[in-house]
Amino acid sequence: MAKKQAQFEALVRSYSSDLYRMAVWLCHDPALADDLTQETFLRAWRSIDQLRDEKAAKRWLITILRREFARLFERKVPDFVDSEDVVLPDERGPDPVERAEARLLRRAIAGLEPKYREPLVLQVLGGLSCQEIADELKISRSAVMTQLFRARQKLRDRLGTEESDDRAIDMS
Amino acid sequence: MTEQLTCLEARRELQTEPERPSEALRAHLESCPACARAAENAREFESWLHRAFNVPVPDGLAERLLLAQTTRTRYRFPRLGLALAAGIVLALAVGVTWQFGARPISDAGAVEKYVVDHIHHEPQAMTATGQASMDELKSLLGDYGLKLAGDLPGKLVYVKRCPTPHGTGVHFVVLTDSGPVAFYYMPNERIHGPMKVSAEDLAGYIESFHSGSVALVSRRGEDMDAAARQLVRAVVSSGG
Repeated sequence: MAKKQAQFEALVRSYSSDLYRMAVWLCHDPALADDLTQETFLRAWRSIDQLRDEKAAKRWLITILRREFARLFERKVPDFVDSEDVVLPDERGPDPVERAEARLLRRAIAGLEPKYREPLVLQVLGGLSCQEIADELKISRSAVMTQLFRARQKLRDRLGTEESDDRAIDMS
Repeated sequence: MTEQLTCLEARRELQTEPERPSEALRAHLESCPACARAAENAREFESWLHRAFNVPVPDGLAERLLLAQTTRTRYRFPRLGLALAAGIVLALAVGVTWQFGARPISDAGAVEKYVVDHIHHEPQAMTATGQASMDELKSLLGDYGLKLAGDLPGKLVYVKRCPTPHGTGVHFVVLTDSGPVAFYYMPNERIHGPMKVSAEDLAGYIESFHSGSVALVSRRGEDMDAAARQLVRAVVSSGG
């Protein structure tokens, strides 16, 4: 029992921040994300005996999080229609330029269609490879690659970054 | 031998899986200055992406997750000294809980910590001086099967539906002659008898109330006893 408790505490300490952040990007609301994170870890605690490979712990938690989201919130959460309405926590960093940049990019991410946003969330916050994302979303690896490519392309287009301009020259 | 990429393939990989570059991409970047510049640009963009995705995490998140796990799965029982007897008591407690659908007894220390953390998390509640809505208070109490049956011991300055260890509850503050007194009703927390709330800046107690428990808390050093008793008498079950 003590070993199981220690294992659970290690999971919470290691992954709760990233799981919460993923929940925010799924729920679009910090309060709902808090609930979802709590439900995810409670479910993880109840089935912690099923976790055989510590290296796969984060992926295991992500799967639970997505299932819990589908079970608890799917019907309640409106999809992003207007990215101005997105409820996300305020950046608390001291640099106003960085805060403004982060806010701009968050709005752009929130404005992505879910099929582009979700693989990006799994890659950037979850640290999953294209193959792992494909397994998680039950789509092909090539479809994941296309979605990730387009997601970044759309963000660059919205932000007007240099690569977006280069692409018009180099990749046309 | 490493597969050779075209510039188009290299750019595609940079936009698809920039943080896990293949051997072929690495080799291409070494021989293609234009793609190497694009790779630098991609790294900068990824850094922006990470900053944007890393929304702030609430203070004490891990502690609250551990608290929720603890309070939902650990049960208090009297120290009988004999493991067998303890086992029987636990089995009975679980059986009664199962039978009647009631929540198990919450871990007292964990509930006290939650109350203190929650009040610290909303510091504006203990410093508010403006009139809060009585209608909102009545409406919220009604949601939890409660109503006001007497005068409050001062001015209502804060009212909100708030999270509790197992769901939500009502948190309101009354500004009395001796300072603010918080009333924090947690409908799903059952505790064994009254217990103290003690923090560096706060003092009070938690007692069984209605279906769960209520925390009555003031700033340390302020005498809230009379006001707290009046509050507990003023809030009654709406069922009778």
